[in-house]
Order: sequence, then C-alpha cells, then structure tokens
Amino acid sequence: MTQRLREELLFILVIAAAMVTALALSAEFPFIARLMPQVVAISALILLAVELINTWRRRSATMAGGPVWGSKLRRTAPYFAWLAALYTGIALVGMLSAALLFTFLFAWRVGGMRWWVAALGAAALIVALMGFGEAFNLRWPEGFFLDPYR
Amino acid sequence: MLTAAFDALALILDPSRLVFMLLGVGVGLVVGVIPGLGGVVGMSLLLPFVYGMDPHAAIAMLIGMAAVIATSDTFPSILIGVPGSAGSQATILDGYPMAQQGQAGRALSAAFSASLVGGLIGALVLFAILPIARPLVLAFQSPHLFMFTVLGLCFVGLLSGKYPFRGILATLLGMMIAMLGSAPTTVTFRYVGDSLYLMDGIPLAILAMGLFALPEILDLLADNRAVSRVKTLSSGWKEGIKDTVRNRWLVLRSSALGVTIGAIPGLGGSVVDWLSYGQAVQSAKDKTRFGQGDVRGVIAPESSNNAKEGGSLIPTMLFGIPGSGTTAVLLGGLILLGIQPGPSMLTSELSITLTIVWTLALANVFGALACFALSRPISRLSTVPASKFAPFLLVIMLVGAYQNTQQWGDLIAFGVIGLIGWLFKAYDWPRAPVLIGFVLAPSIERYLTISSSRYGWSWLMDPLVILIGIIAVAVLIAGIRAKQKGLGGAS
Repeated sequence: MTQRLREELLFILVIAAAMVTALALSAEFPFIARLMPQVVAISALILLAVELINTWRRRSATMAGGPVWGSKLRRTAPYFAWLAALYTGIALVGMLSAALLFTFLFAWRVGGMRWWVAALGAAALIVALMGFGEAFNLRWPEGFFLDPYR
Repeated sequence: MLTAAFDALALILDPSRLVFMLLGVGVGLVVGVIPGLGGVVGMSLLLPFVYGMDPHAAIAMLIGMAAVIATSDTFPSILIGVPGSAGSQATILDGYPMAQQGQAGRALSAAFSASLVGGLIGALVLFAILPIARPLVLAFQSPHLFMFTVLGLCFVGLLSGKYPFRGILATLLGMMIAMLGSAPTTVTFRYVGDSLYLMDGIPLAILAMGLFALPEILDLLADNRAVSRVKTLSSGWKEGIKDTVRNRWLVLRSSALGVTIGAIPGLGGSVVDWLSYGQAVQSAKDKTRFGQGDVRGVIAPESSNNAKEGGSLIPTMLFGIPGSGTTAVLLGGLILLGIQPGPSMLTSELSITLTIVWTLALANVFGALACFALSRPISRLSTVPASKFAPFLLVIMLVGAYQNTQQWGDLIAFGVIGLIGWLFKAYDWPRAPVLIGFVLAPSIERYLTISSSRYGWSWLMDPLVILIGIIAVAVLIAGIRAKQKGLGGAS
C-alpha cells in the first residue's frame, strides 16, 4: 500500500467520521429538523463505503498523484505560516496595521519586490481599504492589544 | 405598449437619468470584480442613496448596477479561479484552465460577448413576457420547485471531476455544511454547540472564497508561478467573439434557461450557471475538453447568468416575490420609492416597468463595452507571479470575508474552510459540488417540507414532477456512464 493510497483512505475515513458524528448528533433534533441531516448523512455513508472500495480498486492510478504529507506539504507550509502570522497580527494590532505589515513584508521578502515598491504597494492597499471603508461603511477586525484604529 | 416603450427610452436617455445609470454600472463593475461581493452587497450599498431620488433615475442606478455584475464577475473567475459572485462559479471550470493556458483574452472576450447577448435576450424576454407572465409564474408549485432543485443537484454528477461518486459525496458534504445553524422550519439550532456565530450558518461568500481562492493562492505560491502557465497572453480577443458567434445556439439555449430559472422565485442565480454548464456538457458531441479549458464551458454559464437578471425581475415586479437575493433588495428599493410591485406595474406604473427593461438592456451594453475596454490590462494580472499579488489578494479576501457578519468567526471559518478546500484539491476531490450542495440545501429542505405538509405524498404523482424526475435520473445515469467511459473530467 503506497503512502498516497493510505492518505486517500484516511481522508475518506475522516469524512465518514464527520458524517457519523452528524448522524449521532441529529438524533436529538425534532423529526422535522433531523429528516434532512439524517437522509444526507446516511446517503453519504453509503457512498463513502462505495468510494472506499473504488479508491482501493484504483490504487495503481492513485499512486500517480504523489503523497500530500510530503513534498507538497513542505512546499506549502511556509505560506500557511505566513497566513497564521497575518491572523495573529490581526488579533494583536487589528486589521489595517497587520495588513500593512503583512503586505510589505511578504511582497518584499517573498515577492522579491524592492523595499520601497513593497512599501508603496502596502500603503496604497491600506489607503484603498480605508477609502472603501469610508465609502461603504466597512468595518475591520479590531486588535486586542495595540490597535491604533480601535 | 410600443409607444410606452419608446417614451420610457426617452426618459432613460435623459442625461440627468443616464448619468445615474452609468454610476450604477460603474459600481456594478467594481463590485463584480471584487471576489466575495455580489448583487446583494452592491444593491445594499446603493439603496441608502435612493431616498428622495427621481424614481426613474433611482431604478436606472439600481438595475444598472445589478445588470453588469454578472458581466464583470467574470474577471476573477477566469483570471484567478475565484468566483466574483455566486452566478459565476461554473465559469471557473473552463475559464480558469483557459487562463492557465494563456488564453485569458479569448476566455474573457467570449464571456463578455456571451454575457452581452444573454443580457439582451433577458431584457427582450422580460419585455415580451410581461403581459403573459402571471399564469406562467403561478404554474410552479413547491413540488416542482423541489424537483428543479433536485435536478440541479443531479447535474453535479456531470461536473464532478474524474470520479462521479466523489462529486455526489461533495454535494452531500455541502448540504451538510448548509445545515449548520437554524433549521428552516423549526426553532432548532443544528450542530452549533455554544457558538453564537454558527447560529446563522456559514455565509456563502466565505465558503466560496475558502474553498476556491485560498487553496488556489496557496498552491500558486507553493509552485512559485503565475495563474497563466505561459508567459504571453494569446491575442484571442477576436477569437472569443467568434466563439460566441460559432456557438450561437448554445448562447440562445443557455439564455433561455437563464431567463426561465431566474423567473422561478427562490431557485436563484447560484444555480443557473451550473444548470447551464450541465446542459452545455450534455448537448455537446465532444465532451472531452470540458473542465480543461473548453470555451463552451465559459459561454454557457455567462450567457445564462446575465439572462437570468431579466427572468428574476418577472416575479419581483408582477407578484412582489423576489426571484433572487439581489431582487429582494431591489424590491425594498421599489417600496422605498413608493412603488408597490404587483399588477399595477402593467398599468399605472408601466413607465417604471419599461424603464427597468430598457436599463437592463442598456446597462448590459455599457457593461460589456467597459469590460472589453478593461480586459486587456486586467488580464495581464494572470502573468504576474503569485508571490507579487498574493499578499494583497489575501488581505482583500480577509476583509471581504469579515464583512459577512463582522465577527471573528468569519475569519476563522474562512481559514478552516480554506484548509478543507486545500485538502480537497490535494486529494483530487471536486470542490464545486460542495458549493452547489450548500446553495441548494435550504431550498430542497424548504420545498420538501412544504410539499409533504401540503400535499402528503400525492405530489409525487404530479406529471411535471415525474417529468423532471425522469430528466434528473437520466442526467445522473448519463453522467456516471460518461465518467466510466472516461469522457468527463470537469473539475
């Protein structure tokens, strides 16, 4: 059994576990509210069983995809980290400040822009956001600590 | 009627009103280009300004905005694989692969020309059908609407990547996600735990952006490339228009479907592009290119989603029943202006009705021309490496996501759904059916409940229900057989 096949089977089992949980939780709902979730969950579980068998039968074909928990994840992980940093920044200093820092640093370090071009781009984005915010009464997530716009 | 129509045209061409229509067109272009926003958002933005305005000018502005969103939302769908609004989801299936192959120009050109024709057909049908629409709209009852929705789901079998069972499973997953929050018919909150945020369910815009945009950007960054895999854009602008002319019958069929679906209240614009895409696949002799950059997969949804605007105005104006989310807000605008939708729209308020028809037609022309003018510079974006535009796009998407309920839950839901979307993409599970399952689940549940409580099970013997059911089964069988023969491949 290849790693890709193991991963695909595990993925199907995770979805099946979610459906079983949904089915179990729906037992507490009144009939009219549980009818659709139960129909959907039971149909999904039957089809997941079929798909599990199909995936096993297609195992030679699925090998071609390559494992996800390997080089693909290694290549993508830095960008998940950048995204996590942006979320943390928003929580700490609010949307506008975090976005300014994030766009500048990302465009400069990852995008390979000159520092002043990255800074100009980041500033332009923030000005545009503030303009849209004023025009359309948009709101931003506020930071919990040092948000100057709080 | 014709005299009244020309009087209405003279009214709308008055410079003081024309400028408001162009203003609406401008706002619609911007709203359509920004992923996550759509007709409802655009209409909500303009609504506060209509107080005290001349009714013709105000309606020209609102309709002008709504009409062009279905045209301009093509930019993000084709260039970055993110639906600009709910009605342009199916365009991604072939439009985005075309952009990746360096044919962004051809795809956009075909989309805009098809949108223009579709929009004009929608306006024409709206004009022609007004006197005879009443019995037609009243003919559809909840069992028929239920079956139409089931039919929409069955088309997913054709749109579900290499493996049809995964497509159907993805649809069911989407339906399950839609069941988060309050049940439509009882005061029961499903699967929300203690979360106040989940009580209203997951917003559609967040699901769409999370499933499509975030995984796409992460993969572009990981592969260190631009959207387009080739360095130069094709010069296929004329080719795109020729494609539309070559596929004129497809445009006509899709437009007719768009008007019909648009006129069915509640079925809405999120379905029409999928149904149209499905019929394009079904009716094509050579299905092998669908999902890999077939221009017919762009033309069909784009002509139908513009045509549906005309259709959705039929129940809105004649019965006060909005055909879509956008027309629901428009309805509020009409009432604000002192216009009561109903039979009076064909008598005392006929000039308003005809203003709407003309605005729809003119806005489609202006919108398509503006999109053609802007498409060359905007499509160059598809050759820019992802690492240069990703930070800006990520911030814009987060801001867009946050506007849904303005709670932190929006950002968390966006991140979690983005991760799920990335896993789906990595394991070759289709993501589009999740979205369509999500969109159709509330309608299916509502129509099923109404049908059962009102008709028992006798509605199953209704001839139209049986006919739609037969079509649905045929679509499903054809879809599975096509996949087994290796003819499918739309993902």
